[in-house]
Amino acid sequence: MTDTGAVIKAEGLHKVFVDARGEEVHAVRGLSFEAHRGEILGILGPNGAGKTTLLRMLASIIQPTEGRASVCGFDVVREPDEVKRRIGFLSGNTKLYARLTAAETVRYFGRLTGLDDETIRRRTDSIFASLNMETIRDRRFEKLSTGQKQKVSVARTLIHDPEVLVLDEPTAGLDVIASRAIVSLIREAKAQHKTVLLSTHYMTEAEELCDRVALLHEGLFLAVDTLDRLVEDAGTTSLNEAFLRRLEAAGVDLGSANEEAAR
Amino acid sequence: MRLRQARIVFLKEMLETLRDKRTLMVMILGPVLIYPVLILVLVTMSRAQQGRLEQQPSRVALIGQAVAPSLTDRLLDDEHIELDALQLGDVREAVRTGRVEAAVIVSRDVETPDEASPLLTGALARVVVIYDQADERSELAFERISELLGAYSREAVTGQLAQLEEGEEYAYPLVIRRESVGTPEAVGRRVLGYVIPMMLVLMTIAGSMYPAIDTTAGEKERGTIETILTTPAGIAEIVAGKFLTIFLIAIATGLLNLAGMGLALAAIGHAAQETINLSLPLDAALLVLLFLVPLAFLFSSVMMAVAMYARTFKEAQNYATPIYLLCIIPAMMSTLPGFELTPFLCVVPVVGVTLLLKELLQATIVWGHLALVFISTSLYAYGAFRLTIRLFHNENVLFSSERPFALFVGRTRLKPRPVPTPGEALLLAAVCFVLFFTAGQIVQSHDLRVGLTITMWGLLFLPAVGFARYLKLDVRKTFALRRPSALALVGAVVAAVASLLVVLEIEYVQSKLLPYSQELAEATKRAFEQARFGLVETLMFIALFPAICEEMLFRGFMLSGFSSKMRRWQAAIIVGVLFGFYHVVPVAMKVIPVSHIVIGIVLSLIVAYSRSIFTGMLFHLLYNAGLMTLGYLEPLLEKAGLGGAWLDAGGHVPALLLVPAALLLVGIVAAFVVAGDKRSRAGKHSSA
Repeated sequence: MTDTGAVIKAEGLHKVFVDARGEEVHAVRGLSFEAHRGEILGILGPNGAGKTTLLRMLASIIQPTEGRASVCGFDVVREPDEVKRRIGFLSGNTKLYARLTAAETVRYFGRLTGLDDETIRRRTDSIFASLNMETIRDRRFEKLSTGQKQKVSVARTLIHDPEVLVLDEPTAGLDVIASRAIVSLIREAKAQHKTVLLSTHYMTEAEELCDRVALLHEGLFLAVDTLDRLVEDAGTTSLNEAFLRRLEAAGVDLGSANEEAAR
Repeated sequence: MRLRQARIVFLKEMLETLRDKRTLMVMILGPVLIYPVLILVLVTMSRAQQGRLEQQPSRVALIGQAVAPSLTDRLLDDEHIELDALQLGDVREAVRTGRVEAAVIVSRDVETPDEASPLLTGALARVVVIYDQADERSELAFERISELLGAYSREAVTGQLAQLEEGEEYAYPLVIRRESVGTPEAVGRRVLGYVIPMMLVLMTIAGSMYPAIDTTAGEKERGTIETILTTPAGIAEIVAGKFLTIFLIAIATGLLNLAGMGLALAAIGHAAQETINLSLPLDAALLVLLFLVPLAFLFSSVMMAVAMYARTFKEAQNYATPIYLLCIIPAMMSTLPGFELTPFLCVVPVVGVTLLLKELLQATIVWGHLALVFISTSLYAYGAFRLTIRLFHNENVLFSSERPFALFVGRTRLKPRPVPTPGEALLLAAVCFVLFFTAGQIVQSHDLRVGLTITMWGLLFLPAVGFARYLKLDVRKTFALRRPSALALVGAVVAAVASLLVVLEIEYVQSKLLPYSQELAEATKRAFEQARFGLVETLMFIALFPAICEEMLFRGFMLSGFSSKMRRWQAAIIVGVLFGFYHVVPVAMKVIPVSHIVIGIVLSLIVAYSRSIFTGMLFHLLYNAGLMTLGYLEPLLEKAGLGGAWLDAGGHVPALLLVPAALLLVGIVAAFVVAGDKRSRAGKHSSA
């Protein structure tokens, strides 16, 4: 792989799962792309497109079946610890411990990332102040509201000041107020020249935040480009329509897909 | 392993677990408060009830007062007995309905002439006491009457002896006095040996169950497992931290139970201190604590591995509960009188520890047993621990939203696949073992011919083929139904003959070191004699049927199942060991089936590397036939004065035969392995 200055690089990433019935499921099929410093790259796709699998591979949570990837120059398979130290991973699936307080939770993840107690204290104070979390510092996670829980998750993601944020549908299921914390986090990260990989199936979110967007369907990229180019190439006025055009061009029967979705 | 990270995970898990009220209930409230209080309340209530019963008089009907006037007087005089008048025909019904608690019927024994009993002035009488064994009041009445009748009888004899001017020794030449050398402490330790191991095993497993589920399946369900995987903490560190928490909670639960039970038992024993002392001696307590460590290690690892498969807390409970129930049976073995440790039982999971704890408490320690149990339990625990780490590495287990076992998916949703998984192979082995040791033994005891046919075809062959069909497996690949090469068949024949000699020597050496159960050998011989098996029938039932049916199960389903996830030689060893233990009949549990394990491994290696079950079937057929033929010929040879002619004076197989046979066997197995590996490499090369 040649060094192009990219923070995230993926080459031919492929992931096969074997389910309990012995059936092979190709979740991601040979994806290649790059994401650069200060860039927000959106991964767009319907449920089951392979977004979560792709992000888990990049965060060294699962291993690719084929292909390779690196984050900040560290290989996701051979150097998972270094990769994880540089990534802040947040998804709808990354829940927290009900019986720990907000401060204990953040301290726990800080320690696991290798930070010393003094650094953790300093960063916790700073994050809690910026997210207005002082009042919930010593309250158990199970006692918090949905929005407060999301703030603790954000604080947990940021405690080690990661260079890369990998956000997997971070606003799914959240109300407008809770979603704002995430949107603010993403904007703040961009301002700090961090790289953000944002998976979502909310087109408006992508339009609002992303520099470039990768359209993912059944494990394959239909396109990876800037928003303007995607819309322009498709001859449409919105990203949503552009995505549907791309699906049609890929031979997807949208009528059947809608019926399938309705079922 | 990075200890710092394991420590961080451990501290967090402990903090969370100790903040969980359910864990604290199981760990502290149960043993420290509930059990002792429960035991004390039960014992106090039982004593109070017993006291109340003893104060109440028993209502007794007496029939035949005219025949025994003095006995009637004695009964009337007894303050614990109230006499009731009844007709002879009504007494049984009266006792049954509880109108009276017992009835005494006295009748003159007309068959005994008076002169035959010179001691008696009157005629000999026969007394029948009717009572209801199902009713405790009636039982108490019976005890009172028996005591009274005994005293009455003895007084009568003494009185009559006095009339004859004879001393008591005339009628009672022996005076028996009980004198136990057992100290109250020793008696107490015997009782503790029955109770404590069972409770300790059950409580330790109960203590490990909840935190194991909470820290694995519970985390999966709550979605926190993915969160920790986003950190640089490695799988080994995460598992170690979680394991240490479960382990300590299990130990603490066991210890607190031991303390709680000890206090309760000591309090109970306090009342009867002259005969029994139920306080736990310090040396025994320390040894019990020592064995609590591998026990808690084993249960924590097993529970963690089992719970790891589940996707939710509830599902994990469903998987863990059968394990708990399965442990109740071996745990209860300590309460069975006369059940003692043998080298074989030492290596049986849970059973070994339970019986060893009993030995420790009863101060009958065999140091060899101690070592064997400690090592085997630690190995099992380590195996389960490694399995948990492997499961944590398994992305399907961590993230799949599907049920973990195909068996639970439903057949219509199953897709055809080539071979079973190791889990399915183990499940089939467990089912077939249970069928074999229960239904198999029953049908064989009724009719050996029918029983053997049903056992082989119905309990081994059919389940294997049926399960493969159910799972939609490729039958040809699962059972290795491939035509073997002529060379492989020749190899199997020579190996079978060579192994006969090797096995005879192993059996001889083992019989000297760990004697076989003669009882079993005799029983088997008798069963065959009774069935009047001829040579042809023997060969069919003992050689042909097992060669087909056992091979389909072991070298077919199980070998392909284990080979799917590990190297062929590893799978062969596992299947070989299981094959060996399948040949342990329950009553012969005094030995480890070394020869069967050896044959099992050889057979598995030959099939695994020849990739054809037919080589295994041929080997098995010839091997069993050879053993049977030798057994059949033995009496004939003995008659001809040639019994054991081919063995040396010490009963060993002569070295001139044994050494070449052993070398030949090893050489042939090695040739199978080398040829198999070469074929695999060639196959990969050509497909590449």
